[in-house]
Formats: sequence, structure tokens, C-alpha cells
Amino acid sequence: MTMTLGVVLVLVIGFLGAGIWVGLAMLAAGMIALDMFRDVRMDRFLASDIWGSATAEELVTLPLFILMGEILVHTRISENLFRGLAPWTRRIPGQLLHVNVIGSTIFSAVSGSSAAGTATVGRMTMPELLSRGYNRDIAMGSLAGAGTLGFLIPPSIPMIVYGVLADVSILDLFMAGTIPGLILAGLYMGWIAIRATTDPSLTPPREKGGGWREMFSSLIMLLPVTSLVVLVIGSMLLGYASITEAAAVGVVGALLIGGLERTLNPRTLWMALLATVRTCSMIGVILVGALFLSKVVARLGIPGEIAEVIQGWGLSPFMLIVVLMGFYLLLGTVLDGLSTIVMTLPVTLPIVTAAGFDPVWYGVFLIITAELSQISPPVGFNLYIIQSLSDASQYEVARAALPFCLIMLGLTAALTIFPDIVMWLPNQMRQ
Amino acid sequence: MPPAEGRPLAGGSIGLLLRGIDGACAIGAGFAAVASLLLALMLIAEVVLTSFFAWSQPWAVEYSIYLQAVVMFGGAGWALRNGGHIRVQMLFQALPRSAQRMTEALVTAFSLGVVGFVARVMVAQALRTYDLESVSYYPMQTPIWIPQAALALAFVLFALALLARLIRVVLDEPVEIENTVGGTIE
Repeated sequence: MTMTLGVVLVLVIGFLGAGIWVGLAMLAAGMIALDMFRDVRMDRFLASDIWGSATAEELVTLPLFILMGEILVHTRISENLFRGLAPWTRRIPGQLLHVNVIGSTIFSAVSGSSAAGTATVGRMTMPELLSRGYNRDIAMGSLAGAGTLGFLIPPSIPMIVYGVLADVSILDLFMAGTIPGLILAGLYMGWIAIRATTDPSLTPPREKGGGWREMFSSLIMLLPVTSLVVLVIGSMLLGYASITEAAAVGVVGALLIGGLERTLNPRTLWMALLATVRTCSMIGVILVGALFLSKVVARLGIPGEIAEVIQGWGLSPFMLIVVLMGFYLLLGTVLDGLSTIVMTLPVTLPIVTAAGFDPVWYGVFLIITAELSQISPPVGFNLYIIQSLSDASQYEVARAALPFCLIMLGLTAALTIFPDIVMWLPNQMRQ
Repeated sequence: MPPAEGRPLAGGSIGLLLRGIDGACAIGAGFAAVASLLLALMLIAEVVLTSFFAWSQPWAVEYSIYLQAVVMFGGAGWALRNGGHIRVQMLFQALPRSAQRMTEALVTAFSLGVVGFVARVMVAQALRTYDLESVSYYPMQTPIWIPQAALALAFVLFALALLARLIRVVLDEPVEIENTVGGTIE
């Protein structure tokens, strides 16, 4: 290991371990390393880099998608998702447990946040499931697993951040995440159905429903949110609207839903705007730190040094991904998903692309590792939320989420062996 | 850090300073919130005008990125006060309370140094472009010092929020308030 690489690693790990805020730790490490090894005017370099990062055009969709999700959180979306989906899922083995998965999948398509999805869907489903006698572990586990779909299914905030950092088309990333996201939701539902069939004690006896009439009338509950999904995701994926236009339309749709439901008033709108500012502030500070550190790391030639070391190991592309997966799983236990992505990207992206992987594919891979870190203890944001919804300990929630983590790992292996699962849709759209 | 119990909140000039910084940071967040609404409205108008009237606004892209910068950084100081920024706290939480306070003071002082330096270079950048009368390369040719000054002010507020946090740590007062607005990506 060379001096520059060692110094940067020690600085980043030391600052993070000491408890310095993630974005500031990266900024400080970048400043010190640059000052030590290169003769540049730090003040001008830093100022122009921060100005460039803060005004990057690709970032403009970020506040809009966040605002759309925050407005919807204040609507009756969770209640409507439950009432709209429950009559349909009663007929499948696992019954209402599937509301966690389908509800989270739908919510993921109108919000880029994982925790917001877990909280919004869970605040309705968890009390209902527990009061009806569903097994607590599978109720918590399915919510934990499904809640992470918010990162994979567009619009995804971490994907926008990855796109900006890796200079990759955000639309390509959104398309690349769609099929794996739907497969993952399908795998979760399959697992729930298998568990419910092999162990009937996990679910109460099948509830009597109101028949087809109730099922079709319940669809009215889903109409506003599914219309919004079609409008935002459909217009983007079918090429009718740019991401910025789709995000703007999404905000209008969310405002309309809130207005028609009469849940939107000046107070809830202001709360949604402040929540947007809070999230954007967190991402903004991390982004400027990560982008600055990326440039410093590139200037110091560190990616080349690491690539040489990794090449010396003589790993096959598949084994490289296995090693990275292990590395990210380890990192995910102490850091949140977004931080792991932004901190490691300057180094890992050049290595992975040199090994022949598409940066769009790698984005989806990283997003899944970020999802895993959301539900891996001791630092898993979704675990905290489910803990507060279920009165279980964090260990119990993590244990309940384990089968869903393993499903995610299985999907990652499949995506590595068959990268076309990820790349098919973006490749089709490029033609 | 858990709030110290039974301690009076700072009064006198220190209390006034802390309340002043909190207020300034809250105003920054308010501006950022209004900016996010303006950004949404502006882009909605742009979509409608472009789609239905084939009339694109030349200023829309330029001003949307300035508003975006305000949304992303205007509330950074306020977000610090309500626990909005991410950090690794595993080692920190394992420390005894006295050591936590010492570590918090060191971490906050270091972060104040980092953000203070950033604020200084951002102010210098805005002053330099003002002297040079630089304008944007967009059709509107906006004097670039105006949005740069807004961004510099956001970092000044962030630095002040860290200063207030450091004072609170030294006085053994609660450094964060409860987050009542929600808002997280994770």
C-alpha cells in the first residue's frame, strides 16, 4: 500500500470512527490529503468544486422527488393501500402479509426513500396484522425486506446520488432497477406464500371476504396512487417525459391527491417542505464531501494503485463482486447505505468497470448492498422504524428480516451471473 | 449525546447568542423550504408551457439550479440542530458520559474548523466574482455573485450552528432538539 492511499484511508476511517459527520469527514480527509501531496490552491479548488457540485443540473430532480414523497406521507396513502390491497391478498397463501410487499412496491414507485416506505406502509399494516393474529416475526420480516424496495424501484434517491457521482444516466439507472425490484418483490411474496403453506400457524384462518364485488370496489382506493405511478414512472420509462418533467408532474399529482383528500393544508404542506429541506441538507453535505474526495482521490492516482493491488490478487470478475459484496456487508453494519456508496465509489467504480462490468449494472448492485445495510444491525434505519411499530427488540427485528436478506443476496448472485436482468431494459430503451 | 438533566438553559448574552443562531438557522431553513416550493412551481410551469404552448423559458434551467443549491444547503445549520446529518456513533455511544462530552466537544470543534474554512472560501469566491463582474454562461447572464453569496451564507449559517453546538456541549446543554418534521432518505 502506498503512502497516499494509506493516509487517505487512515484519515477517512479515523474521522468517521471519531463521530465526525459523514460529509464533513470526507471533506476534511480530502483537504488534508490534497494539502499533503499536491501543490494546489486549496481555497479556490474547494470553492469551485463545491459551487459546481451544488449547482449540478442532474441534481434538480432530487428535491422534487423527495417533496413528492413527503407530500404523500401526509395523505391517507397507507390506509388506502391497505384497504385497496387487502381484499385481493386474502386469497393468496400468506394473506394480508402480502400487503406489506405490494404496498411497499407501490409506495416505492412514488417515493425514493426506504424509511418513508417502511413507516408509511408499516404504520397501517403492523397493527392490523398483529391484531389479527399473524406471526410477528414474518410480519416484521416482510415489512423490513419490502421496505427496502424504495431504493431499487424508481424514483430512487440513492440512484440519483449514484448517477451524479458516477456520471451515469439517471434514467438508465431507473430503468435498470425496475426489473430487479419487481423480481425481488415477487421473491418476497413467494417466500411468504411458501412459509404460510408449510407452517399454517403463521397466519390466522382465512378471513371471509366480500367476494369479487368488494375486490373490484376496493380498487378505487388504489386509483389515485396507481395513477400517479403510471404518470411518473410510465412517462419516464416510455420516453414521454424527462426525469425532471416526471418529477414536476409527480409533485403536481401528490398535491392533487392531498387536495382531493383534503389532507393537504398549509400546515401539512409546510411540514412536507421542511422535511424535504431536512433530507436535502443531509444529502447535500454528504454529496459535496463525496464529490470533493472523489476528485482528490483521482488527482492522487489512488484508484490506479488499488486496481493494481486487486489485479495482483488475480480474481475473476465474479469473485471480485463476491469480495466487494462481503466488504459492503461488513461496512453496512456500521454505516448507512448512502454513506457506504458515496465513500467507496471513487475507488471501487474504476476497478469494477476495468473488470468489465457496466457502471449502470454496478449502480444496481450497490443499491442492493445499500438496501441490505438498511436492515443489518446494529445500524439499520429500517430496523429502528419496525422496532417502534412492533415493540420488538432490534435483534428480534434483524432476525425476522434475515430470510429476506438472504433472498436479496441470492438475487445479487443471480444479477452477477445474469447481468442482462439488469441491463435488458436500459439496453432496449437505448436502441 | 443524552441531554443533561437539571441544568438551566444558558441565559444572558450566551443564551441570546444561541437563540440568535437558532433563529438565523431556522430562517435559512424557511428560505430553503420556500425555495423548494418555488423550484417545484417553476418546473411545473416550464413543463406546462413547453408541452402545451411550445414556449420554453430560457431562465428556467438556470434559476432552478440556484434554487436547488439553496434547498440543498440553506437548511444545513437547522438540520444539524434537529439531528438531520448522518454520522457513525457506534464508538461514541460505547463511551462513558464524561468521555462522550469530551469527544463531542472535540468532534464539533474540528467540524467547526472544516465548515468555517469552507464558509470562508465560499465568501471569498462570491467576493471575487463580484469584483470580476462575472456572469453566468446561461442566456440570462445573471451576475454569478448573487447565487454564490446565497450558498456562502448557507455555509456561514452551518458554521454558526456548529459554533452553537460547541457552546452547548461546553455548557452541558442538550445539543439537539426533537425532529418533528420527519424527512429522511434512509
